[in-house]
Amino acid sequence: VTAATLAPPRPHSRAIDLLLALYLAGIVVAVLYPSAFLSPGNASAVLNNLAFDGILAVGMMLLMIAGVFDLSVGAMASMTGVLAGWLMVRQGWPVPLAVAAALLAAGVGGFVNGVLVAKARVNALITTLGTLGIFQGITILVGGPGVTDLPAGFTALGQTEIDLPLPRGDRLHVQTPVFGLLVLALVAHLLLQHTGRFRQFYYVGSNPKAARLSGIRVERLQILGFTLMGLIAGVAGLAYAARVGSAVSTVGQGAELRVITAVILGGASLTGGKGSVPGALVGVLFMALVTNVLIIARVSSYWQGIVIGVILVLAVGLDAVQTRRRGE
Amino acid sequence: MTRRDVLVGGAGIALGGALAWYVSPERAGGRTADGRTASNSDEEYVWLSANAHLPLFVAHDHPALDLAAKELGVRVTIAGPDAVDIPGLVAAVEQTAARRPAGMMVVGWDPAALIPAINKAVESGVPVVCVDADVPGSKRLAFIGTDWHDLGMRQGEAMLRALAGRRGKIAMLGLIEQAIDIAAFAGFRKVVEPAGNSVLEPFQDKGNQAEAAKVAAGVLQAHPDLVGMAGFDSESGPGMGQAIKEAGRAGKLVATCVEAEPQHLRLLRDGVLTACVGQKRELFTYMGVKALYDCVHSPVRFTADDRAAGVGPIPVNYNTGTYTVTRDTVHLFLKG
Repeated sequence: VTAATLAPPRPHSRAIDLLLALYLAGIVVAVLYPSAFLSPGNASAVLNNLAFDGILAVGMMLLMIAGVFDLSVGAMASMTGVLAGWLMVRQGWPVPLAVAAALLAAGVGGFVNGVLVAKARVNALITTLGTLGIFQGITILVGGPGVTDLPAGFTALGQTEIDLPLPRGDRLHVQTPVFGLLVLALVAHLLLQHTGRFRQFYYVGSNPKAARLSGIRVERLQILGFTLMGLIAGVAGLAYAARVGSAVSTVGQGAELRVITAVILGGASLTGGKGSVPGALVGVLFMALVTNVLIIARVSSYWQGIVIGVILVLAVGLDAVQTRRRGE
Repeated sequence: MTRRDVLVGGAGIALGGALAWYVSPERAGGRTADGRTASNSDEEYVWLSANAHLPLFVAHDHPALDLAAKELGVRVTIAGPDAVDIPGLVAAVEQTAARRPAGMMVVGWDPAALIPAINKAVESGVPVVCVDADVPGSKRLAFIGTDWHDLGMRQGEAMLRALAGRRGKIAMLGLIEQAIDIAAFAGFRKVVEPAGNSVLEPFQDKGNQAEAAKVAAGVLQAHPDLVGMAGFDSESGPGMGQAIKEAGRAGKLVATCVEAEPQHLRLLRDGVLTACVGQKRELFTYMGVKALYDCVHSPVRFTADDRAAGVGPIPVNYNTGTYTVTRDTVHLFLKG
């Protein structure tokens, strides 16, 4: 089997089911809270706030398709933002140079994760748990609580709004990170669907031994996956820093588990070989809407974890039952 | 479950939703989903924080919100993530502002990241005040809470009183990346260093009691000549207390901390901690609702259109102060 002969993967049914559930739940919420839920302001707020997790989810989906995951993504995002901010504000570097240097650091961090997992064969959980601490430590050492007053040339990258027309003369104010997320997702989707190299991620995730025997360079692919994840986490950190006008040291805290949850809801499996980029986006959208609906309904945020937890267990459990019935 | 099952189930849900419309909160008005109803008023004020159900908040801030709601005849609701999740808090602020409540109180977990969200809310006509922790660069109308630099100074004064002329090395524990802790560290140093003490660089306890105990135990081992230890987040004191007890240093080492929760007070009564500096949490949260209410209802006018002119009808700063609990006064607080 060669990479070229691998069939493009079909969209995973869990993502489609989740999309249907979202659609139907959306109708119910729109009926219950028409003015709050359907307002352009609310839609803009939901979209603009899901970009950070969405960007991370695209990278995490690539990794999880290949059968690995990265717990250091939140810390990496914080580190990249703070590093860029520190270079721009405290060292006086020009914006493009600071951004490039921070992204380079993110790429190197991801590459190190990849080498440790693929070459040194250290478990991905242990490796990225370790680097999570390292990246967090570097962030606080460099930036303390964070770096404020980022230059306008940088914040424009995250705060520029594009108004999309809606019926009845309303407008949706969408910020640039959302468009960045869409472009990134489209590119990642096309690569996974139409290039042999990226389709190999599915094969490696499904059966790494067989992939190795068929000539696929599994280690090289895993390193590529982690390096891309590092870069994508860097992009997320920079986009968020630009959006809020400051690089916050704690911005990525807890993001890793949110993103892994979203990606699994969107069709990925911890054992690899499953999932799609649109699925990751559906997972992120679902989690964003659960939060939004609970805010609108004035329900205690305790319920957020319960709702997402129940749906995660249900989705994965039903999937496992279906798979067993099919005898897969 | 097949996709068809999902669709059939969904159709049922949609039908249920249509029926529920007749009892929907937006139609009925004045009801909250979590039962925090204070009156039939439609006027809603929202308290937003990260870690929104932290035991400290549940014990002090949430009851104060209820108290103010009942007194003023308004509705006060709670929103925000249940973790230290800054993007989650930013999202909650933006999404709450989109449904246009009468006012919002924001706990400024990050003094910078919340600026755009708060500014956008204020610009859209929703009055915003910061409670507990400030976002000074934003367009918030007021800050209501503790001055953390001052709180650090109060802890420094308590430390010097207990040292009674002794001098030496002092350690500080806290959330080293948090702006309020950094301000408190500075206030503490300002008082204790001129008195001839040397203050070590602050140690990170991650706002977690177990971590604080571990870190404090390590500090005690590494610095046997330590004369004092000061904790700056709500979990530092209990963690330090445990480490001090286990190291057999209770009563020998001066230990001060922030907050005066039952756990802190018991350690103080037992002679493990020396002094606790409490924040008037109930007061600043209660005042937060009242400040927003005043914003909406104040008869005081400065211009033809104060909002357009950018003039607020409430004070800009409310320093609610602190109180120091010592072994002499701890019985009063334990009884309270």
